[in-house]
Amino acid sequence: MDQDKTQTGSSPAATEAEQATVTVYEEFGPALLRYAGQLAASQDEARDAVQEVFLRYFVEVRYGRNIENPRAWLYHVLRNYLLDQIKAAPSRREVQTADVDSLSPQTDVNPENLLQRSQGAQELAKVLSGREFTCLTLRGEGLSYSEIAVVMDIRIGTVGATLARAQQKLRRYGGCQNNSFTGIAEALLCLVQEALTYTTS
Amino acid sequence: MVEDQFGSVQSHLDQCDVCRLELHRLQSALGDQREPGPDPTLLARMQSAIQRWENSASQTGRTGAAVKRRVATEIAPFLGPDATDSILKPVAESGENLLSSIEPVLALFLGGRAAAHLVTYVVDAALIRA
Repeated sequence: MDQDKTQTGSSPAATEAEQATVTVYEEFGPALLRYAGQLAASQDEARDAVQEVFLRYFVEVRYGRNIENPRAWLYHVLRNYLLDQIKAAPSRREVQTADVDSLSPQTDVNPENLLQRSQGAQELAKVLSGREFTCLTLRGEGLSYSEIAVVMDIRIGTVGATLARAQQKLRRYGGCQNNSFTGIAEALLCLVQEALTYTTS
Repeated sequence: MVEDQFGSVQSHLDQCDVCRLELHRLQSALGDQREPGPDPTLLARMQSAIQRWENSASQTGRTGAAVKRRVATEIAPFLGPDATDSILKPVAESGENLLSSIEPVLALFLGGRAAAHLVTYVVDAALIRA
């Protein structure tokens, strides 16, 4: 155990739990922060949410909970926490321009293509349901079907059916009759980035 | 993607200029999405939050018998007082085996998913918000 990384010395259980939390943070923290940025009203809120989730992870491990899949558990708790925040203050869903800019890819893309993709992404967002969008974004984060099922508290079969429906809609949008995963992935990439520009009243 | 699907996609890409161009654009975009390392500031904040929680835990009675009493209050409606006492009896004074003691038993009666939800609620009510 790396004693230099822990600050809690009140009990062996607390020390061990803190070490475990730090280890899990180093493995999953950056991805969780990126995911939180998609749902939170600001980057500060995203950081606060991630901090709360890891604090909760510490508490549960500290009191002996066996968390078999930390990644799925963390995404589940984070998503629920942020959804509660959104429900509590829906008028706070406006995103700052700086937040969007900081997450945009630094590629030299034709402005007309950017506009086209942006409009397309907005059309897609109208077509996909909230559940389909969430499943797609979690899949884009690299979560397995079983992990997505844990995060969203649905059955694995429902995850598969939801993704299949979403993919069918994306294929129709792409206009390509064959199973082109690149169109789906690009649509997802646009959606994940463009979703940050939506405001809710 | 399974092998059959990959072959089908590759076959399409060999013939479709539009999709091949989109793939190239996507790979270029994704290539710039380097995942940053762990944020040291956030790590320090997290560890401070853990420290504050532990310090407040010793002051507000989040150890030993006080924790057991609060947890008992939450799970007794589901298991009854006698079963609740039996389950909590072997829990250490430090509480380090609290959740590992109650969750398996709750799962026997309620099923795994319901037990997981209930344990989450118990953590909220008896440990985090207390």
